[in-house]
Amino acid sequence: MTILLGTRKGLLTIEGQDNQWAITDHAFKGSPVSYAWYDDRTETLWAALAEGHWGAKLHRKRGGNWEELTSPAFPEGTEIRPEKPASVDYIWAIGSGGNDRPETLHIGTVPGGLFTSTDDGQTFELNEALWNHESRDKWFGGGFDEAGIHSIIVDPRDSDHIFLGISCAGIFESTDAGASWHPRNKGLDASFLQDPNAEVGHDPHLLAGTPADPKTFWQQNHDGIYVSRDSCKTWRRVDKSSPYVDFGFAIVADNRDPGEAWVVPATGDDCRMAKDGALYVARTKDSGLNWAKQNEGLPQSDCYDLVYRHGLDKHDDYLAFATTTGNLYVSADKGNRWQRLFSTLPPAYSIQVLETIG
Amino acid sequence: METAQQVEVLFTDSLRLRFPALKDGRYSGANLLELLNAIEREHPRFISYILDDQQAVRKHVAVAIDGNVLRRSVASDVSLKGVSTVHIWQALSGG
Repeated sequence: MTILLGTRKGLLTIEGQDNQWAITDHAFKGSPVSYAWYDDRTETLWAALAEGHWGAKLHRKRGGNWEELTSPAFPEGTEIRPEKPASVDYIWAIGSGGNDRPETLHIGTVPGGLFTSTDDGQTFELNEALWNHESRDKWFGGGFDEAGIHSIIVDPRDSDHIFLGISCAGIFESTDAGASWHPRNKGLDASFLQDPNAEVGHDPHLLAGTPADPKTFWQQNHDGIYVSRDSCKTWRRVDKSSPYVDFGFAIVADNRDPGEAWVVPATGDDCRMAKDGALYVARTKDSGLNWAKQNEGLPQSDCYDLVYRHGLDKHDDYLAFATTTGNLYVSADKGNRWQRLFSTLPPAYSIQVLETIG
Repeated sequence: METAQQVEVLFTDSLRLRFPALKDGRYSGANLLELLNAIEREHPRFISYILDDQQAVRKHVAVAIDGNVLRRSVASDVSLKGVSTVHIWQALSGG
């Protein structure tokens, strides 16, 4: 198995199985990698760097060497609001444009821009329909000064059908390749808003789809966990029946059973560390009716870990998560037993679990 | 119309780490944007490290014109008339 880890100190490639794992590559030493993604459509590794003083950067590796590409940029004169010029501060997500369009990819940024490339990342164009959406003045930052796009999911049946997760704005859907966008937040709570029934202003920490059913979506939201069975048109809260889950950032759904999902709970929102100091994963097998703790192999005291929104991933029966305190855990049996691979890593921003690269 | 002139440009080591072929030296430009474009021609994507999307000097990048540090300036507005040295470096950061 291969694990790609975007960390505070570069991109780590970790390979192995059973009890034999090793870090086999360390790229961009010292630079924060905000998101790393292997695109199996084109056998390409993508890495977004948060270069701090020098801005957000995009790199690509196809074959032997990394190459830096021209990063997405807001057109001249673009403003977030009057007198506030727009510039890409952070690349928060890189996503496929669809299996039938291998040269198309989408990038989500802070501030909340969606950029699309149709030429394999050589050039990017800002999605003006979303940037100028009528709800834009109701968007605000969640973890950053400005709103950002962290989740991009393209319907496997129709590449013009796109879903976004935006913090803080909510879930947005386009059925016309991004020409128009519609908020899809019906049924979500937003206890932090003055109007908890507002259509826009929600904080979906992560939106997760599943190839098992393109109409099923999960989200770990600031207020709880939700599932939708109708392509995000309506959401049902599913965490209230369990004491094990409520707050968290990451969520992943099973690739075969759309009713099966995993989260890594945290005490929130004012604490943001492992719940009661015990690290565990919670799993539902019945669309959120029940949640079970999975903690075999995980420490149950003195844990200060937090798993960021892109810090949990799954490939077939393999689950892995990486934390802010340098721990990387993997399970080969869907979370029943865990082993710690490393405990001294940099804080992790993104993880991807793969069979192999290339 | 301002006339382009040769200016001595000094770079921080952090930039040389990212652009190994980058060397202190003389570049030509009537204003800061022209000067950076001259460097960009030899070192593609260099300019995006110095200027943000709206062509302003990045928040944590320091550009000193004959020793005077610019504050959030649009590069094309910064004349280099009579300037002899431009020094580019970055803020110090934590871990």
